[in-house]
Amino acid sequence: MNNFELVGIFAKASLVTIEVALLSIAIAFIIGLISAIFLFYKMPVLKTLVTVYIEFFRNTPPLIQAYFIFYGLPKIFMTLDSFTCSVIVLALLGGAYMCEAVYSGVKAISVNQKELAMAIGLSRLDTIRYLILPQSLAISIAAINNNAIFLTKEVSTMKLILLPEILYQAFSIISLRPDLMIPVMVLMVICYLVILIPMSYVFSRMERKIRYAEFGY
Amino acid sequence: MLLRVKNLKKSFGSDTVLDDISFDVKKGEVIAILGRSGCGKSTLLRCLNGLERIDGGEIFLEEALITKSGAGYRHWTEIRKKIGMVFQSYDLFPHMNVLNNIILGPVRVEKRSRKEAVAEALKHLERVGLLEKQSSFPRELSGGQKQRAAICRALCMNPQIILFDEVTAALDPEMVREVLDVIKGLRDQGLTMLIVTHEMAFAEKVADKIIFIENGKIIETNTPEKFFSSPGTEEAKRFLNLLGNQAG
Amino acid sequence: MQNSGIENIIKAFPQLLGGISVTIKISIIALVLSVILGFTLGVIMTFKNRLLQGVLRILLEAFRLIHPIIWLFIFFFGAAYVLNINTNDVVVSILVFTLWGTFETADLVRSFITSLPKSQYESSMALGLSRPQMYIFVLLPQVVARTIPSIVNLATRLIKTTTLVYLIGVSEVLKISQNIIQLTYYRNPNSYIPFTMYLFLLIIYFIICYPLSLLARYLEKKAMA
Repeated sequence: MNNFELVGIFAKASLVTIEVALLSIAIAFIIGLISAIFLFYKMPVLKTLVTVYIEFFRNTPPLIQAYFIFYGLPKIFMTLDSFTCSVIVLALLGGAYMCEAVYSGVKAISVNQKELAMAIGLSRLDTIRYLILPQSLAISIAAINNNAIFLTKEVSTMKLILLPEILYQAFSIISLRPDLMIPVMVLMVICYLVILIPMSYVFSRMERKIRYAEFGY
Repeated sequence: MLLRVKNLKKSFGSDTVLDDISFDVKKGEVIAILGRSGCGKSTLLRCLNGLERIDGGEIFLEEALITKSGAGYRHWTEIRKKIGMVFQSYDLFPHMNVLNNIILGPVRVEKRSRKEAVAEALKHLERVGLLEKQSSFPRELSGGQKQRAAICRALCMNPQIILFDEVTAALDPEMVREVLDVIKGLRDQGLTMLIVTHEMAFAEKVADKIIFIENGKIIETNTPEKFFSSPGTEEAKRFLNLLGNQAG
Repeated sequence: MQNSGIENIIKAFPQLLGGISVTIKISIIALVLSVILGFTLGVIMTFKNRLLQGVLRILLEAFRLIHPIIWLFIFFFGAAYVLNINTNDVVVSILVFTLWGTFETADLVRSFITSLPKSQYESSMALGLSRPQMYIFVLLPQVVARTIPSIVNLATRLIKTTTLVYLIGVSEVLKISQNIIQLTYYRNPNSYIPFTMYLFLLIIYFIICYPLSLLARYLEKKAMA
């Protein structure tokens, strides 16, 4: 196996990582958003469900969550491939964190806004779209971005449920060819840095822009 | 001569805040430093105990040069045992009660025994009327009480000079009086003090000498009686007029 | 109920608990070391040496950016290969998680110290306190109270993340549970024990971590007051 093939393997693995990450982040954000809305409007049953959901996913190890969904659920539900499983686990885990991030921004907006909207008869959906979200986004955006980066890093944990991402490939190659240890390690770290550093940079710029648009500095 | 300042110069970037300041302080003298806000009075005090490094000139304490080049943290630690300072924002340590705030210096810096330090601290606390508050924490005290405690803290180090940096500026008017009374008491005990203040009536009563600073330069040095009734310089006249009925 | 495998789980409860205690022990050791080293490093990060701060900053970001599981992999296999030694799985685990916790704590401590009002420094200096004295008696005591909620939070995160040491073969709860699952399959191929087992483990971890979360939240509220 020459260096070229190595790079190819890691490139493909990186793509898998990116795909899983992007999907999970998107779904987690939506879950988080909806959950935060349930909390904000204090909807009776849904509010409790959301709270239980958040506490459960924030106080249990992601690895065991993954094992449960990958090895446990198929026994009474249906068999899922590692890609789908990874996305489900990360989306659910991320959703819990995203809900907190979004909700903290929403909470910061004065309750008066909600009551003002109700007083002028604005529908709940419109209130959220035009009043609450735009303002809370500026506050939550930092936490949201941090969660996105956290989820991207967490994809490597999914190696243990056989997702063919970067760490998985590194591990497989090393088991067969320990002599390739150094190139593999280097490539592995490079792949992660190439994914995470630009992400981090884009997020900082985004945060700065949103903060400027909202607050003027 | 206890303290000698010669041609002191201090700039922040391109701003010259203090320009060619010279004056002397005798033992037991109380000097009030007056001037508009931003004229450099606080900076002058902070240069005297090394919180600000000077850019020119010399300062002598007991005829020994204290602003030698290369003077590091440890050098100034020694000086600060002799020159104490009380700040406008009192700055008691919030995580210690009043007594511990006061004995921290004596016990840790001067290495005195705790018993001895406590005895002295209680003496000072009694004199400023805070004895019952010795176990209270700063957050339980009023501004005036905090400031009196801060003065005790400086006193317990037995310094030769105490610098007071607008110590009543952050206080409500009712509490200003109690702090000024404490300072008056210290004057009667013969403590050498440099006081930066806006309280004109107080300055007139307590000080032996007035130094008036404007734009970083000493404009006039005079006795309180002469300064407040018939100042020698135009700038001083303008300054006193500005402050209207505050004097006398 | 036969196929749930629950009886086997109950029978193996001591072993499972033993497995969990391995990761908990690693977490506790890492936590204690992280606090001690983290505070020290945090204080060092408030010194004004540009080169030092630059180097420390890079190390900190490196540890933040790369997931602990990758560091486990690098330290366990990479070190064994490069340094030609037999890396001990538990030692490497403690090492990696200590480093992780230390950098997190250090950044926290540093930010708390620098957020103290400048006047605290100045009144300490005006009293004649030396730098070490200033840190020990004035700055750090004020900072310690504020770091406690985050340290409890770190403990929770350590407990959750140390499950990853399964990767480098530590004999902890996941490994043990897999043995039990295999044994159960041997007798009862229709068992859906993985479902019950992992659900069971999730509940156990929840019972451990949730109170810690509540504690951290409570301490945070108190620290704000």
